[in-house]
Amino acid sequence: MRQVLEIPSPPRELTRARLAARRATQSRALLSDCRFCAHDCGVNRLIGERGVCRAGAEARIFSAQMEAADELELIPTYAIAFSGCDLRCAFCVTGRQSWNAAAGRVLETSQVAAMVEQALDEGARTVMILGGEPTIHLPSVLDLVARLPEEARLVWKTNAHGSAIARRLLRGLFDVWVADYKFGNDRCAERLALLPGYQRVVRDNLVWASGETDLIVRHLLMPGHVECCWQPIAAWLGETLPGVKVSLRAEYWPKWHFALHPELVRTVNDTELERARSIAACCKLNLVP
Amino acid sequence: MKKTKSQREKEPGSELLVLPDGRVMVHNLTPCLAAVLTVLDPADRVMKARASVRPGKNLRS
Repeated sequence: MRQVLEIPSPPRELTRARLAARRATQSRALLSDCRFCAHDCGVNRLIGERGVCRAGAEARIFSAQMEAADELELIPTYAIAFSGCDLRCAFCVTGRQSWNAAAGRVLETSQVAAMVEQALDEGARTVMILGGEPTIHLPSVLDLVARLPEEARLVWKTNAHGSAIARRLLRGLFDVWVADYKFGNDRCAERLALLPGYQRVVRDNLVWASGETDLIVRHLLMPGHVECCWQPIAAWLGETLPGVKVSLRAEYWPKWHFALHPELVRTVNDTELERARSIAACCKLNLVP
Repeated sequence: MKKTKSQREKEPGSELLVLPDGRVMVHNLTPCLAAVLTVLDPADRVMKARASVRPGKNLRS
């Protein structure tokens, strides 16, 4: 049976920790009919059924460390990477862990919360929750958020393929969303990530996030995909979300199943990078370093 | 001494790709690694910016 999730707006006096704890309980029950991402599988993860992401009820992480590769306003960030993802991008830089929800080690929230506190003491500006894709592990993520210091600035790094249910559960908890806009058309999304109906989902998520939180839209420029992917993405962002922060990343390198797609066997060249920047300028995008 | 799979998984890690033209690409760049790469190529302004970021605290407004 399709679930109806009523999640009222957070009362102002409710702390983030209490709000997250409350929603963690709600979301744990939703694992019995999982619809956290736009695949809308409806499987019962509590009894071992698996959807597209293959994740069970228990979340695992494959990395937790201080990082400096993200946008300058966020670093140094303490990045906690959850195993498993609902996408199947052939070029995934962490394919071994992102395609395998059983990779890494079981998330022990109190232990990771202690690591976060230490990182904040050592000067982390932000705490970033990422994957794989963290949306598929919402109950555990919310458990973790409930244990994090109230003053920590939290970053939600997502593939922007979450469902409306996931958005309601996340509302008001993260200070910044870093959301990928990977493909500029559904054909490339289907070919490179086995992903149907991508444009509608990613755009719904980005429009919602732009109204709810500080949003950075990230696009990884890929070789041979400047015109088919970046150009339409830039045009849409310029028209629909003028002024939104856009992070154009050029550090693609051939990894994982890249060899399945002839154009992905090399890095982005200077001509493509120049063209991409020119498109960004034409669309008056607010590029952030 | 050879490390077990479990030990390796618990250790933070970064990856480097050095291209034939000398460009270096990094995955999971840490602040320390950014500082090292800045020494190798002082002209890399992007890396310099990442290496020079000063730790801060509690930016939540």
